[in-house]
Amino acid sequence: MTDGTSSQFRIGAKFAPSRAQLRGALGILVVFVAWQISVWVIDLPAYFYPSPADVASAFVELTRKGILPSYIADSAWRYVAGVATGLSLGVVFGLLIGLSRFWSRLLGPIINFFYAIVEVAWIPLLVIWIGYGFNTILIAISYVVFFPVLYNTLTGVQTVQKVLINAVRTLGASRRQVLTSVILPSALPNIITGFRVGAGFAFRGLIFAEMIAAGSGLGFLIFEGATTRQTDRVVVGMIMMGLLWLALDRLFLRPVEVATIERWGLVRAKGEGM
Amino acid sequence: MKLSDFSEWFVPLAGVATIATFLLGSLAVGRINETRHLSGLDLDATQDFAVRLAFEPERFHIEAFQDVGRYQGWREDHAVIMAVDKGALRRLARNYWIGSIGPLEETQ
Amino acid sequence: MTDQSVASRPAFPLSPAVMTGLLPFVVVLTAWALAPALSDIPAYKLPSPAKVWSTFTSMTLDGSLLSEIWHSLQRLATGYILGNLIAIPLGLAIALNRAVAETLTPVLSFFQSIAGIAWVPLAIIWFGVGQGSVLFVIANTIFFASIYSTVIGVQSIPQVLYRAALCHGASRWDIVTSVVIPGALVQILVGLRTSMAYGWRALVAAEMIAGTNGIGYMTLEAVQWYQTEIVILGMILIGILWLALDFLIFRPIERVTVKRWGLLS
Repeated sequence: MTDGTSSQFRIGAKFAPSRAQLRGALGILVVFVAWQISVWVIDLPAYFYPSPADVASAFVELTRKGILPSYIADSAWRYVAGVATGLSLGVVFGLLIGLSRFWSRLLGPIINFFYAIVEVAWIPLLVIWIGYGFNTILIAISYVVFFPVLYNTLTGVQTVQKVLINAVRTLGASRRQVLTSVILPSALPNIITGFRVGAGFAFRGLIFAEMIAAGSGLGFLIFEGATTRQTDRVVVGMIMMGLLWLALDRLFLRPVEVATIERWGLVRAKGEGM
Repeated sequence: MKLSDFSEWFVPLAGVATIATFLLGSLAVGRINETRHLSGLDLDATQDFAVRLAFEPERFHIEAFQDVGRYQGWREDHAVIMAVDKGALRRLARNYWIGSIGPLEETQ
Repeated sequence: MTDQSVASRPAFPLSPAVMTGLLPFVVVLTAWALAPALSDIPAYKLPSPAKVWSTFTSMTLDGSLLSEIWHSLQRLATGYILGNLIAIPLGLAIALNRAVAETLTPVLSFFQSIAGIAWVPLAIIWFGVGQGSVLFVIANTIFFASIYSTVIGVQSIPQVLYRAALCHGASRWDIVTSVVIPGALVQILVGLRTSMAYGWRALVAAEMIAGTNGIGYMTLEAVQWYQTEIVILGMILIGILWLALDFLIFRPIERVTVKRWGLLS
């Protein structure tokens, strides 16, 4: 919204669909129509190229049989646990490295090295060490969230305005008080942005990890659908994945980021190119 | 502090509230299903149960059965599970896709 | 010794900072090497550094390692160039018309969100296991990531600039070259970087699930044979390759663009 009404709390204005949103809905409709037309044109069996109707009925069937809700719950639980772990560790180490020259020199290079080894590459080794299932996925997801959060926390800590720290110090603040009342709030927008970047990679990482190292979940559904030639289920999984991510990102991550920035300052995303 | 100060947080908070409601709701539904499916059953009387489904079980359901006890197979319209763990059976009964649970008849 | 005496400086700066930075690596390597002696982790779970090194040398000497790396990089390059080559002009074309851009943005963001991994099983059904599937997934990932960035980039150009250009009598083509492309350039460059980040992961992941050769394939395949030394070797190579891509390609690009247009990454 560039017309400046976003700062007003007008429920009516917020909920009325804008022209852009209507056009967007039209775009989605066009895609469905194009999909159906391509099904008629391509005229291949459903196990190769399912139609919207095939996918819809697969969705209904998976829900009726309790499979889809259960898998979504499994994926959601793994995701939340992993992301929370990665976030906490990322913030802790970001603060540590940002506030201490010693720790920055000690851990900087090795963290940069492991950052280069994408989480996807860890899955085979984790499978050998821990096996399949929750723990492997938890470690992989935490790993991928850890780095963007750490780097952005670092940026946030390093760009705290010195004048604020000095001001609070002259008022007699202890080190802990400087941390909690100046550094953390100031770095918070960066932390949230890093979290959003990490959450994105983590979501895709989760789906991949479930394809290889799990017996349930959305990623597993997509993979198993392919091995059993139930392509309609594959598409159900893909669509659910997209919808869930969009819901998470648009309804939660971005609004939280925007709100945090509006309250606590300006920020620039670091690590989005990785 | 005006209400408008929190307007940016409205959407995420609403989202969290929705998810929380959803979770609590599904817990509640689970308890209701548990009661519904296990009502009238004397759990201590037998170790073997027949679990009816409205459809052919898939690997997902068979795994669920195997978590409850020794799954002996699918007979036309019900699953035969022996040496059932009562706690696990309760957990199974919380699922909405269960048709009904009954003691294993002699002829089954 | 004053700072002017450059000639007396050691060739490799063994400053305290560098030493502290190397310490964790030394600790990890030592712990790794001593692991069999200190604990009872079986050798198949944690082969010694020496074993990993000897696997590296033998695989390099018989050419298999270079072959895998070559397959992976060639796929990545093809997918990256193909994906971006189609996505960026198409994205610009879509975004030029505001109505079309608004119509397609939700669709594009949806496809961007399932880009990559989610397409692998579908690709297997359509193209079977092998080069076709992996390349499809990579190109697909890069295409959607890039086109999304491009469209968003154009949409974020302030209206003011268009009006200013029109005031100066700009033609449609002039607007494209002097307002749209420079204005969206930052986001397009970010898109180049982001699409590579997703594309790289898609490469490794797709090779693991649907590939028949390449670094990713080599790494996961070794799990079946409990050849953990190959798994570890694969991981280290994946890390080194990404660092190489970053240093040799993206950092220079960013430096050039910062120098030329004063843009910040």
